[in-house]
Amino acid sequence: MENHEEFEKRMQGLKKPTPATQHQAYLKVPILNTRKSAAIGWWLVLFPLLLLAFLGMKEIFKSDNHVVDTFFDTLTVFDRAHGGWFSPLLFFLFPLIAAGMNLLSLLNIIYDRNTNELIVTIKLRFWNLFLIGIGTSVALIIGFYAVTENMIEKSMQDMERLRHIEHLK
Amino acid sequence: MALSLKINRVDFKVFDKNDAQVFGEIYDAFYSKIFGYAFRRVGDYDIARDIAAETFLKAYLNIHHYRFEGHSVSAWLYKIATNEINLFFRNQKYRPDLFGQLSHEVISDRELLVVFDKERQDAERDMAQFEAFNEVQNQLKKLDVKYQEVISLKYFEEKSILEISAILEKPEGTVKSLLSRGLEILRKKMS
Repeated sequence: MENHEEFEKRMQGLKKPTPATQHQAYLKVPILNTRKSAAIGWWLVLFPLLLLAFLGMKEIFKSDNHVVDTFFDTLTVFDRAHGGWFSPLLFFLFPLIAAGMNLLSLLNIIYDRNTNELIVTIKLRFWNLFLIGIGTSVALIIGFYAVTENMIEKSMQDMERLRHIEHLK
Repeated sequence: MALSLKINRVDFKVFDKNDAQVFGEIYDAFYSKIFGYAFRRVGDYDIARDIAAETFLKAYLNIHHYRFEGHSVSAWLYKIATNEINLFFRNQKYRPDLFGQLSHEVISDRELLVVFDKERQDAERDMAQFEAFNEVQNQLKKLDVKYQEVISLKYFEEKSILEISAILEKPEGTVKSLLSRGLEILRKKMS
């Protein structure tokens, strides 16, 4: 039976396998791109979320927030000059895209030919689910706000028109 | 100055953490070492590959937390890999979280699947030629993880006590005593 020193020597001289790593080159690009995709998801919801928070604070504390006012004034001017596509893109589409991107990263859809079944699995990952929740909420809140604003504006215009007709009578 | 920068770049003691290209160089320099370490610990090609990929993903996403404390980035990578290996030993249903997000698009690449299959077969064939190593690896897996870590780092990866101490964040004295005790348990198991 080997003693401790002999065993240690045997361990030191142990021949070890060194597996090939040709696959290394294939994994490099996806690994180096992860930070970018994670960052994109955040940026798409961060900006609308920030503005939503400012608006909420303004409504709750009834304070004048010049930063938000200036921003919305600039946005209105920009939208009027460029056909009004920028605001819906920023406040509705971007958060929806962020939610969609994160949902896709959690979804796994496999078609099983033998059983003729479509197997859908959703992984539970906190940050992805968080971004889906935030993105959808931002889009819904902004969408709801836009629709109600539009309805209020329309009814105001209708009332104005009625008042004008009555005045003419 | 140019020489010292070059030396630093080679052993990655000082590097620009925001430069993806530098991380690419770190990946090129250490991937095979980390993959080899995981393979020699777990003895399974697919799991070793997942562990190595997860290690580099975590390293890349957390590179800002890396601080040079007398050891190159290698010790830090080994530390992350060791934690991943421990996760695997704790839960045999190990599925890397970050790499799992990437794997669907990566695995769908047919060319890469062929590479994986070839490497897996080669690794399994090669392992058969390392009978003595296989025996040690099988017995080592039966030991407590704290002994597995030090023995594999010392005799499989040929790391010094100082390096093992940095990787495991344990004092050198603790590493030495774990090594001595672990080796004795392994010797008895193998005799």
